[in-house]
Amino acid sequence: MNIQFKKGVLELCVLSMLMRMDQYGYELASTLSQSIEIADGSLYPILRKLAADGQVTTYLRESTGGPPRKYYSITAYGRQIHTQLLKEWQHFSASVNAITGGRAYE
Amino acid sequence: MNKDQFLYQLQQALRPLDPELTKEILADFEEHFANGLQQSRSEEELSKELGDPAQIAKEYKDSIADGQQHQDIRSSWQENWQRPDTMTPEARHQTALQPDSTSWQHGSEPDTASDGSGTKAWTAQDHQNAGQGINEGTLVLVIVLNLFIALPVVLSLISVLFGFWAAAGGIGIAGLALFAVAILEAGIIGLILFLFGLSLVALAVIGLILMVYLTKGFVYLLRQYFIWNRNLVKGGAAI
Repeated sequence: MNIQFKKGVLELCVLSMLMRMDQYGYELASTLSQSIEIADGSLYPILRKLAADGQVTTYLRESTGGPPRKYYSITAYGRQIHTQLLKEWQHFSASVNAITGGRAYE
Repeated sequence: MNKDQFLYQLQQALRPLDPELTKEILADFEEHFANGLQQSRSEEELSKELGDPAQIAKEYKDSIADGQQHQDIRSSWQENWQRPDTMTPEARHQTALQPDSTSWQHGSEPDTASDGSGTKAWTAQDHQNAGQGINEGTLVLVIVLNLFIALPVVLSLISVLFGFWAAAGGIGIAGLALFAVAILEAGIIGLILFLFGLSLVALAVIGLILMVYLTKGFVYLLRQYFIWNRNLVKGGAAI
């Protein structure tokens, strides 16, 4: 698959997960790798890029019985990007479904 | 591979990046291991799931290149220099060899350009700097630094380069002039003059080729210096 395309989809997934609640890296990696076949290590460059873009912010929070965890939180700008990416994705997947002749849920 | 081996390999692969940034990245992965170990996973398992450290490092570098590329597109004077289609093959080759060069990713489409999110430079302090304006203290410092140190140095270097160009050109012209004389002179003297002219021209060609590379290198360094200046003034850490 086109690497740029895959990156965009992964960014959409990460933003979607953060729409629900603030999460730390390991948490995000576990959720992501449950449904998508991806090396966990690929998540961190994406998170850093999103932070550099101002789509997410980070803060540290103490954890029980371990070092403090870096939590990621989506910003207003990130929500805006999320809406846009989601629209693009839905449009794209609808087109693919139309061409392949199947509906996603059948 | 255990945790230490993984982190070591990642650190090695991240080498060309800013040390401060490397430290932050490694801290993220250390935290990942700590959290995984808490879930009673083994270090080997975790590092296997993380994937190849070299690949991860490449992904970091790619997104840095993306970020800088977008930043560069905004300043027009660099555009021609950077555009892959206006670059000579040698220049493209040269920049491709630079690990931290901003133009090494030119083959790929700027995916984030359409959503306008890729316009901010990627700095080590990332989000803390988002929205931060120009730092006035640094601006004054940069102006003083440029006026009193960088400007004289750059001007002298330009003069030196100009002198070398003139010298190489002069040798070439002298060689050509000898050719002209050699045509008029018959016999052994003409031959000697011809050969002497030939060697001068060859020397000039070598000199000119050398000068092309020197000038390119100089422009490249100057460009890096400008980028560094801009990052400094914008309050970001220079990568």
